[in-house]
Amino acid sequence: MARYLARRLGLILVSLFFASVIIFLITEIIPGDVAQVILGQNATPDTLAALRERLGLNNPPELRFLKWIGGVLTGHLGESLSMQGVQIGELISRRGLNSLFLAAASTIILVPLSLALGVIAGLNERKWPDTLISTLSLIAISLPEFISGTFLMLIFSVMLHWLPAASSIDSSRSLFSQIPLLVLPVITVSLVLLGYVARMVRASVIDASRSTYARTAVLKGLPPFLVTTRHILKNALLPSVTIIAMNIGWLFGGIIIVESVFGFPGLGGLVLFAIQQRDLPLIEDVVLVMAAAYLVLNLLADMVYAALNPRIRY
Amino acid sequence: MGQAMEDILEIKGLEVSYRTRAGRFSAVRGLDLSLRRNETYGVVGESGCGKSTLAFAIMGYLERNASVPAGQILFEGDDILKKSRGALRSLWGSKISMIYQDPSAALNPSLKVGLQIAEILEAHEGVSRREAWAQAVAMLNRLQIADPEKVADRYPHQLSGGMRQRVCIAMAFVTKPDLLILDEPTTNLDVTTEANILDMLNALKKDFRTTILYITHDLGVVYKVSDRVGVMYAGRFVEEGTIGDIIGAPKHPYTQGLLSCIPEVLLDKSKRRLTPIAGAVAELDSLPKGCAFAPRCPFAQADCAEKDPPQLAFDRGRVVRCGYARAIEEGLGKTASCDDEPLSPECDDYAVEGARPELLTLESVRKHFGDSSTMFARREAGKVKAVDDVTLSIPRQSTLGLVGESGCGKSSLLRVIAGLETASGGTIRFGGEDISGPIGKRKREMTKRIQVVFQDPRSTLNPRKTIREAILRPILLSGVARKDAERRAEELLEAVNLGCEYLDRYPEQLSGGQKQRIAIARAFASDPELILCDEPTSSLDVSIQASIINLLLDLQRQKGTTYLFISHALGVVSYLCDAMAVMYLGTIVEYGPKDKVLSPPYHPYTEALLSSLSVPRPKAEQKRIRLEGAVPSARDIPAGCRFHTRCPRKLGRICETAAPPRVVTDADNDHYIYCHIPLAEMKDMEPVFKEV
Repeated sequence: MARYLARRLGLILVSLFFASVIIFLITEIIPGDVAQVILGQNATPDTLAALRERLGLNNPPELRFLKWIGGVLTGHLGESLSMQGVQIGELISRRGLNSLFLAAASTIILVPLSLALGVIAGLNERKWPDTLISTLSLIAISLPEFISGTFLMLIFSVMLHWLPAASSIDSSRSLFSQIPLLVLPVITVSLVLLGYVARMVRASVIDASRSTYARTAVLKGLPPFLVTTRHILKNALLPSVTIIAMNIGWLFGGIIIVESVFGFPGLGGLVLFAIQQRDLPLIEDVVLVMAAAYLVLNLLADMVYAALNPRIRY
Repeated sequence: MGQAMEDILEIKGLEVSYRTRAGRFSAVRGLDLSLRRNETYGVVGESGCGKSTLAFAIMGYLERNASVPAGQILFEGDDILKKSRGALRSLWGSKISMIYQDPSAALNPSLKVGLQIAEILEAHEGVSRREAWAQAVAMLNRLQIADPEKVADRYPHQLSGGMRQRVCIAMAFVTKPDLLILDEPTTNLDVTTEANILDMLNALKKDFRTTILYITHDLGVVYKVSDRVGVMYAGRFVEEGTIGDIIGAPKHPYTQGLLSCIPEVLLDKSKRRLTPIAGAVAELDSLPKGCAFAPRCPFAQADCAEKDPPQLAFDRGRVVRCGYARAIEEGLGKTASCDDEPLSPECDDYAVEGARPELLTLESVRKHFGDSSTMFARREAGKVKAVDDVTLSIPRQSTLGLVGESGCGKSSLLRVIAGLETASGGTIRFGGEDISGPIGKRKREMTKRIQVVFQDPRSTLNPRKTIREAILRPILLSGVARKDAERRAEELLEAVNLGCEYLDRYPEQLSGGQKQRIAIARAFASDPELILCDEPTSSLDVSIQASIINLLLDLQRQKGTTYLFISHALGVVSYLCDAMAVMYLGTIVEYGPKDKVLSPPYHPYTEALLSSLSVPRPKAEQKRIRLEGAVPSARDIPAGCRFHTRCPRKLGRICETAAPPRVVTDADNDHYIYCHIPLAEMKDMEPVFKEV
């Protein structure tokens, strides 16, 4: 187990290195110029050149890449180009905490709810609970976040006035005291995945209940409750762990959009801002942090899966 | 009434039908059956005859789209079909149990096997977990499982196939049921495991006074275990009686047909050609009028296709559903019209006369897996020595049969010869040419000369390619012009007894037997010299198996092809091969002309394999030798003679320490046995089969 873990962590480092190369190459291709953005349309060529020189934009790409990676490895994420004097590390940890909170809250709602819905639908195959859940989850999947978010906002904030429309978190107060601000973003983020995961869980529950071992369990004369829990669900929920883990990675993608719909101050909003400002170090750092989070999450999911499945031993 | 009290199960006029998109069809059509207490009743039939439907109907557990328009199933006097789910639940697992074909699918993969046995007792007898677990372990112990506590604590994937089936047997017997239904419980198991399991069932049945309904397609197995037998065809019994009567003197043409298409160990291709039953098994959704077997029956009369056949009663409770059963006995002639097999050629043609030059020679061929390490994973576990030092040769135009239990390395050897794996050592010569180098360096031409027919025709044909494309590809690859290739494809189809109309069909439109014919046609497409057959008939019904065997023999005679035939079905191999090699844990333990391998002197392993076989032969007496346990892992091969851990004739320390010498048994210098037992002693062994 320890060997396996060490190997996986090693692999994560390798993956992150390749990711950083790709991220750097992409930021190289992005058109536009941070100096131009900072100084505005009226800047003279001289001032632009001076600013570029000061920001280190004239160095050759290899040097800039090495400087960046060296910084990351020694814990210095550098300084933002567009926001003078702002340390990126500090910014990311503050915003990241917000995003993490949003992701965690969504996951806490998503996992039990989607499992429950999937199990109910799967055990009642082709009866009304299944039809209802399957239809609703299909609708949830087909609505992109910016549509469902906007609709939710329209209904609950604009028409009913139950919840605030914008989630402008006040960083001086704790997040827990501002939970009403989080409700709509959390629901929006969860919605698509909820539908998707519920459908996958439903499929694996149906698979397991049609299996020969489930039939064996029934014909042993076991009470239905035992057949369902011990024989069907125990096997059906295993693949669901992988599905959920993979999708929680996907959740990060959804967060970027949702954060901007609700004006939520998280990593997603930050990366959008950085791209608009052509703030290259900021883009690089945020994307790298997201990639790392995704990889670590997948590792965790594999660990959970191994712990649940007796056939897998590392 | 006295009779009724004795019967534990009585089925009267049972009909079961299924509703499908294509309409409604009957799987069981007016079936009567009485099971007496403590008897074993065998139900025999080919796939699709309705025997599994019968089994699940008795359980009262039919598919959702099934219905029972008529009939009763009385279990101890109560109609199962009228019972509520709750009432059935108290029968299931406690009074009626069932054992299924595939034990690995029947066991829950994520539950310890001990719990899977114990939970039955908890549910039915209300005992505590601890008590139930103790009883489960006791049951495993009773099945002569070594270290039952440890086995109970394992998950199914940690057990061998035979061990899993034992766990299923323990699950079935732990509540001492009155009735046990077995649905092909030993199909796909090795003969050695099968023999052990059948012995075990016979012993348990006596101890627990259980009535058994044994469903199978294998007449040999039925002969070994049952007291009475019913032969099922198209949803009803065509013949029913005591096992001795049915196997000894079958009266219904279908029973006769089934028995005459079984290739037996003692039967040679030069003595008798197999007679497959004409045509295909009647489809339940499109049954002909009158007798369902009439279209395939060699004795069919004009009115057979018109009226339902009557039941004729004979001695000892025998019933035959054929109006002409008596007439056939008295010598009613065959109506040849339905014999679509080509007439028997001179059987002598099969015999190989004189010495032929060797086509393939293997010298100390080895295939070890696991000595490679990937970038991130270094395999610390030992090498798997799948094939370890195999020396063999096959003369041109002959057939070498290679037998052994699963895991003995026969398939790996085949893959090495076919060029799918590179040998780890040794030399392979094909027609004098050394082909033992890396497979990537093999000449393209070599693939044309060596072809393979695989076990499962369903997965070897590309489902998205028509038969034409499947057969044309190898021909076109050899550089033949399109037009000539087309003509050749038609010839090939004809050679495998299929018409040209099959060329534009897709594999899914063909039956299993037809697919295997296509696979054979494809193998012959490049005009190969050697065809490697990897269990080509083991997934087919016996009547189709017989016609495939005949086809292989005919093609060999016409084209002078050489076969290496691999199978764990000893009967099939010994029927069609000329020479035989017995493989155990990666090495050959005995090798020689078939007749010499099948009679003493034997290698103890060969002797055990032969005596584990289930053969439907009332007139032969079979020696009873049983091998315990499974083949050891090829990762951890025993020292000395590899077979010593299971050998019933082990001499002593020498077997554990020294590799066995090669013993040449006679002056012909063509029969070898690798064993420490002195030759004179081996020669004194009794033959496994004795005529009585």
